[in-house]
Amino acid sequence: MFALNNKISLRQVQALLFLEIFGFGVTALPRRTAEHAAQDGWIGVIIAVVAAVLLVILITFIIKANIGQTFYDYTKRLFGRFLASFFCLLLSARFILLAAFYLRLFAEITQSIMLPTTPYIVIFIAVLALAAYGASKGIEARGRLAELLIIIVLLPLIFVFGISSREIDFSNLLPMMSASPSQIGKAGYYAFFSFGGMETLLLISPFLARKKGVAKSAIGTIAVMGGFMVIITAVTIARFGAQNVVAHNWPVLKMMDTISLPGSIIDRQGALIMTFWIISAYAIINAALFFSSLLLKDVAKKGKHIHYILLCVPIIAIIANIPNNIDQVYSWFNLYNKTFGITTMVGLPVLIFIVQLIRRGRDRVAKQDVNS
Amino acid sequence: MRNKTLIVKFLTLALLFVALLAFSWDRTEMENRAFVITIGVDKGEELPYKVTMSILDAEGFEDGEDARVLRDAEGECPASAMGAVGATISRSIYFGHTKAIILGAELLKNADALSKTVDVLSKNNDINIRTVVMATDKTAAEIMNAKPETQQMLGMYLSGFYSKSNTNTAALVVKADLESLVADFRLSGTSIIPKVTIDKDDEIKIGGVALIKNHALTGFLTPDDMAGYLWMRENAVGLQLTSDSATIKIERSKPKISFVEYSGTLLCYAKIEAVAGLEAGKNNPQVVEEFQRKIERDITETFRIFQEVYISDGLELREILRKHYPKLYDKYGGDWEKTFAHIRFVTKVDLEIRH
Amino acid sequence: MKIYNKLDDNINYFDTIFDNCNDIVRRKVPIGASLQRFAYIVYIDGLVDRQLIEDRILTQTMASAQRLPEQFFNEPLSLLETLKEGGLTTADLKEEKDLEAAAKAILTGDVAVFVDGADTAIIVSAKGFPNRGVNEASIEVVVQGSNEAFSDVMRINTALLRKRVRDTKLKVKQSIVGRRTQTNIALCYLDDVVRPAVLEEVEKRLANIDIDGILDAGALEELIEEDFSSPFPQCQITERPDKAASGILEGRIAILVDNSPTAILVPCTMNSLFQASEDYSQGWEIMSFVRILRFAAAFFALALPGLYIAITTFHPNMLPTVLAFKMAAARENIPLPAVMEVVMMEFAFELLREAGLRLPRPIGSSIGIIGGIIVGEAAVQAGIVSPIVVIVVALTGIASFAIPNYSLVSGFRLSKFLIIGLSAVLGILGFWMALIIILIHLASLKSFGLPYLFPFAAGEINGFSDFKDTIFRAPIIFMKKRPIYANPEQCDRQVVNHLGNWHKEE
Repeated sequence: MFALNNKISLRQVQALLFLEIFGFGVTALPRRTAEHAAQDGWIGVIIAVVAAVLLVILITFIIKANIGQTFYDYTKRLFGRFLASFFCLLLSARFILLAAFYLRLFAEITQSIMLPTTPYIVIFIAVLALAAYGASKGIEARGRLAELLIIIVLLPLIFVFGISSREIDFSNLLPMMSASPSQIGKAGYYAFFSFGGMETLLLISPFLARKKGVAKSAIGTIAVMGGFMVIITAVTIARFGAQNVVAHNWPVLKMMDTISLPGSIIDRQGALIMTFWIISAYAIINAALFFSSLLLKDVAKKGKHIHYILLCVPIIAIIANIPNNIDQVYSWFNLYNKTFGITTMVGLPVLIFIVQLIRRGRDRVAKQDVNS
Repeated sequence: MRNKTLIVKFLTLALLFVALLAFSWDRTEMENRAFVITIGVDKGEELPYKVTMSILDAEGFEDGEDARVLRDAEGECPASAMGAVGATISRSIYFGHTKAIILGAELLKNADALSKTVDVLSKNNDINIRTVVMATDKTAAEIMNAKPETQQMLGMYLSGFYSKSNTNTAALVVKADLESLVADFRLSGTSIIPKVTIDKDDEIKIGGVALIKNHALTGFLTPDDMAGYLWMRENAVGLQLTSDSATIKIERSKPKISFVEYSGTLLCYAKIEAVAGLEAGKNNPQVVEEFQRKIERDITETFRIFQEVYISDGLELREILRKHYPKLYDKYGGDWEKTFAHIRFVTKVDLEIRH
Repeated sequence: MKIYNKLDDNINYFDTIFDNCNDIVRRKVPIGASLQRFAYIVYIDGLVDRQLIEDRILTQTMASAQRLPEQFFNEPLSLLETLKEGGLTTADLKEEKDLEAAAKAILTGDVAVFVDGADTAIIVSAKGFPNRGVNEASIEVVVQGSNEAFSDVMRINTALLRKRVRDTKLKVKQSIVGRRTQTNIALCYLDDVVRPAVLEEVEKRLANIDIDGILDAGALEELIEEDFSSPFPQCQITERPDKAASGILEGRIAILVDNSPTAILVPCTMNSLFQASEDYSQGWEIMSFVRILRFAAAFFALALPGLYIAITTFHPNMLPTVLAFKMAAARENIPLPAVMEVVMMEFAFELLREAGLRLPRPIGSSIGIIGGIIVGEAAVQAGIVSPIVVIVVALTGIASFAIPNYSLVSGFRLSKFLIIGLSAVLGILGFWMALIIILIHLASLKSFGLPYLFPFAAGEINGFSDFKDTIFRAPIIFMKKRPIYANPEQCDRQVVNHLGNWHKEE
């Protein structure tokens, strides 16, 4: 009546993408990059942003060619049924693992900054229940919610960082370009993992009404978000100095916590940044649940979406419970990113892209043959 | 069908809710928290550490009376001592509103103990890393036991003293907080902590600093020793200077520190550009000249004390070298103590006095 | 069932169906000079205008018809015709050939006239039932602007709308809902401005209702809502004809229910529930300020108690130090945990609110205030609750009164307890979780296909022009487009030819 059912607008796609990637991407980013390139870490982020933009160009090409079709549909057309199912399971596993890691990370951070004695499992259940509830409401509600949440996330963030600029010593970024290209490259490589979650774009095609502007808005989002990430990385490194950034597990959160707000309405905003934090956690875990269950449903070809969501919830909770401590979480996460993560995040889209290109070339040739 | 899902939904929600309500792990009522305002750490008598805490007495606070309760305990490490303090009161210790940390002289002298204390305090998530840290030449317990007439809660007094809105004093004193201390310890082990002490009338006095080198106290500097420090760290604004013929107040000051290589060692050239307002007396070139000489003397003297008496880079020249002269840093930054001992220091003050 | 030719059969029929209905007046009257022929008049006492029946029907049939020539009485149909054309001197009458339909008409307050030998009845509309007339608005009170309110009688309500919108395009489409109550429902809309799809949907949903009775607009609202399990209203209920008229001008549909002094406006968004009719009768600057205040009030009404619990029992480090110390001091010697304190006071406050409604009006207003003060004060004195909780709960209550729509407040009042519960368990984490749950719910709601959170979410459907009337109320000249409700072809609301500065010369 007013808008199409089960479709979302490009603005909503942008908001979803931003929320899914940004929150978790940025919290550890300054540390990850400073570990490898010290005060030049932010240059690494720029490299990562360029890589991410290239990847998103690839992905938007794929979804534009397959607008209105599910991931399973178009991979089936390109690769056949067996490989399509395999890809679906692969991506679904990717999302489940991603959600599990992020869930564990969220629980760790929550425990460390605000609920020291609450057991993990309670936080897991609470967040997963929330995410599952959101996922069960379908793509339209997700899109609309994202439009609201992004305001709740961004306004305080901009405010806090605006205020923090008074206290920042930008000389901490000096000397510039002292890190070697390989160090910066390495920082960029690790920073690139912060864009994990971008591959949800591959699955967005059935929910789009038309292809006009898809590429522009997706690339724009990634670029703007990349800009934010570069700024936040630079500001955080400038605030603490490269050596100290490395010592904090979550430098961005630490920074938001310790900025003194004017007017002394709030003494410490440690719990307030929870706003930013829980919304980010909700967004990515919700997306992972939504899409992984959707993929499973496509493969199984029966049942209701909600059943698959409920199936994924305990799996995620169990996986999230496996690591023993935060160091293990991070080392496993790195390992995961370098192997499985990079294959699904970069390998899969590139593969689909190449096959799509070949297909298109062949179709064109065939069409010319018919015409002549 | 619809009814069935609704019932399932409702039951799940209700169960979840009951389960959640039955347990609540981190909930503590306000009145069950013991708000620690000041933490003092000393070397213990029997065990290595002694922690003294000044805790809010809420009832006293409301009545406007003495609202402090002092508790102390000793422990094998700072954390266990802090835990032991908790055992002396019925409430749970809460550091969310801790305003100041006072470190005793004996503790400061022990590098291991000091590092450990700073580490424990900074790792505690309740304690704000912006909490003011003070050193004392007595024991922290003595300072906290003093009952000054002006302000009963020492921590509140100290944090008020350092708060930004307090323009009279903020600029003129050196400030250290947990964060800067941790950062300094991580970088070089050299740091400066402002000193607090009590006089005979039990009144709190803030002035001078404790100089930390290699994670341990090397000595206390008097305010006179530190006169040049403010000029080098660009917070001399608000400083009042008096000579025979005039009184001026500094309105703007900016140090410009540069390095050049000079016959096998470094030459540090500090140029200070300052603007001052005339408070009393006359303004003429002689007066300007006189003040410039005085400031230059102060800076040189401070530098001399750092370099010759303590051989300790309290001015953090190494960081400046690292940031702005990476090549020189590569060459000289390695054995900084040796380099610092041989730095040649030249300063020039460019003062402008306005009416 | 057709009307019988013989009058006695008809009389029999009515005697059977109206057995033991003593309020129904049935009278067989002789007409004509010869008194050979009879007419039969049926109506419900109290629902009809007695005066009109005596003057226009009885006098005419009994007296005037006597002057008619004899041959009319031999032909029943022409007798009927004559009565209709010249006998009954009233404009609103129609013929009816169906007996059951005639009975229904009688039940709605019409008068049925049967003539011997004719298989047609004349239905004279002579409704004159008791009503309160046009009252003053009592719930949605405004300082400036009309204070007329809808009445209990639908006809008066449609007149109130017609009075405000004098357009031939204003359609009043009536239907009947309720197997037993036979309640009249009227859809009022502007034919060209309304979205046809929405109108179709409303009609579909109304047709779907099969219930024994609708006694109030509220019941109807629940039956046509999209998500009945939501505590938030998905239709806007108003008692103000000017609000309904402005809704109609925006392209919305006003549903009037007989015997109910309210109109249902559909579709509706949460944003429109924050708008009061006064917003447009005062300056945009002050009303923008008031709007911000209302949204803030909504947040307070929803979140303040939860926030209080989360902060004081989990994260007192967020409070300024001195305030934290004061609050801790205030809570000394209070036996209840903060959660129980808040829940108890909330409960007491809701109780006062409910009791205030039931009490006779002169006492009602004072019990609210005095009860609140006395109970709060006594509880503090007795050391059961801390004064800060009283402030929090009172502020929550006051905030809830600042929201113009009563049913929206109910939604907030219920959701408040979800926030309190989760905050008590997980602190700020729980607080945000509860808030997100509520947001997810709101985001998933739709009112007749329109996202409930429009234009805060999905604002681009209408090119974001609806933002001009949300947290801020833009000057009226800026609102050139109609809101989303209107048919896109009719989206122009006004043409601004000249903008202020009348005295200025070029």
